[in-house]
Amino acid sequence: MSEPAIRTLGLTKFYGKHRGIEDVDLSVTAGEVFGFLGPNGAGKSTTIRLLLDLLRPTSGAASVLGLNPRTDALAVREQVGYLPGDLSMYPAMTGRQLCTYFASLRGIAAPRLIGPLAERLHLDLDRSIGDYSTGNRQKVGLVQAFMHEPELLILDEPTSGLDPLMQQEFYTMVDEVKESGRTVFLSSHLLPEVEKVADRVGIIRDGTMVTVEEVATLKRQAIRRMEIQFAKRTDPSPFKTLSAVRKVDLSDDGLTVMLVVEGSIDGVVKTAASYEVHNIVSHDGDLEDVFLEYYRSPV
Amino acid sequence: MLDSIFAKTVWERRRSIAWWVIGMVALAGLTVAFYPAIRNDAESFEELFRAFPPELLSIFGIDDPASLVTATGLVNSRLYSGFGPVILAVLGIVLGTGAIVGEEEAGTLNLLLAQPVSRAQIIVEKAAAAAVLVGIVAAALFLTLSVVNPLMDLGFRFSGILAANLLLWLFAMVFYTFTVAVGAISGSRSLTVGGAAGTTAALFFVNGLAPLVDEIAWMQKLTPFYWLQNPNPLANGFDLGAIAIFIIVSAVGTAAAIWAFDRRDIGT
Repeated sequence: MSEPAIRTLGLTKFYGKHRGIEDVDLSVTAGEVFGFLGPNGAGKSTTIRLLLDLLRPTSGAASVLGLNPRTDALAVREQVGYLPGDLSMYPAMTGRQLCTYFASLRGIAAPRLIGPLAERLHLDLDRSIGDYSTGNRQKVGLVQAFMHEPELLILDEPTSGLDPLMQQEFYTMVDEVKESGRTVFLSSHLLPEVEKVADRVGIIRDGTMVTVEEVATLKRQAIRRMEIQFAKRTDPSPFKTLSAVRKVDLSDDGLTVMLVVEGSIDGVVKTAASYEVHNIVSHDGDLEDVFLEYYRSPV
Repeated sequence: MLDSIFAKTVWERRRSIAWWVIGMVALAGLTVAFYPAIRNDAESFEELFRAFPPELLSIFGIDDPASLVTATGLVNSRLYSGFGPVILAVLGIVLGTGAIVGEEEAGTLNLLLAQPVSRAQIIVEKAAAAAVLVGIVAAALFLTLSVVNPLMDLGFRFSGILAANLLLWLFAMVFYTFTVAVGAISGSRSLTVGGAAGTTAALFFVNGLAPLVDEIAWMQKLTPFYWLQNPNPLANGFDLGAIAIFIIVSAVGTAAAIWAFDRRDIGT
């Protein structure tokens, strides 16, 4: 088996007494798309910043493409494309100026991919970054991360601010990187996004790894959150007896039943049907809190 | 054009540095414009300057009020002590804040450090860019004085004008490197701006008041202001001691900045 693209062993970072991450063990295989999932503040960015030598670990070790992020910093960064989660760029530069500037810092005199990438993302490169919308800034960030065809892409919340069409284009770009045998490590707080592009998912919560799973395994579990609003105050106990229901809560006014459902929602809908229902909301996005709750409490 | 950190740093300051040049040239022009009036009525001006409290004159680097009625004394008091150095020190602080801690707080350092450039390289290239930017302002002052010198019969030697502005340039770089070092060590923009500005103000007043207060007289030699004005390069030409001090202090500051910056976390 080839060298893992990313490997961490007991990686730990404390900010003073405040814990960033603790004892994170990760192994990202070369050539795979690895989704790093967790709610905001869970430690995703801290982990990524440790991999890029922006932060120095309190203890533990990391290797990126078989290299030490600290002692081989330049060699690592030559082969890595990075999109920060908190993307800030020089507002006075145009998108093209920024990308060519970074390209020349990489020793690429005539970067041929900037134009085609911008075209794919429908990005006008000749406007000032200060005048771009959030989405367009994110596109510039993606262009500079992809433009040198890096061996490893480390992307922190890459689709934030992108409209659905551009998100789709981004997923295609990720697929192409994978097809060419290169590795993508992307963080997200959205389970559906990770499901769509990743081969495996690592889940982090409160600074510690909860689990690493194949996406296919996760999909079978299909956890979702539902809210059912009734016309009258309703006793939620019939829902508790359903095998697919993991958690039941009642709103303060007693009119809305909030459920966490694993697998089929058939039983829930049929049970609800015996009452007068005003509305059913099923949350497919932002499932991570539900999901993590599930992982935390032994079933 | 934007093919290095050095070039990009100069490029992004091109407009603001033009304003610094305009300001410095205007200050020089206004200063020498007074000279004919002062020379023609030297006695009454001398009397007027003698009426100022010595503390106030000392703050502006003037030991002898009589010197103010000479071209050297007038230009020294305005451009190479007092206003001029403070303006250049502020320029050094502004550039020094922007270099590391400004980029860090703006968040752009994250992307810059994702490129294959070392932290030391960033500090060195930015210092070179600052040397060019400050040098442009000092050169503008040099050119202005070189042009008005014969026109207004100021009587400066060419080597004196060159020496004074060389020293002013190195003086500003001391404040630049000090500010970069504070930023590289602390990682806090507000601390850097406050610390550098406060230190500059303290140095300025120590230099001005030390000659009047015996207990702190020795402290004057610790201030860059002293080493800028005391050798009186406009009259005496190049002072190797002062030049060496400024270069060494800047080099030590840069080394300290690299050392500290290389050892810490970025923008947490």
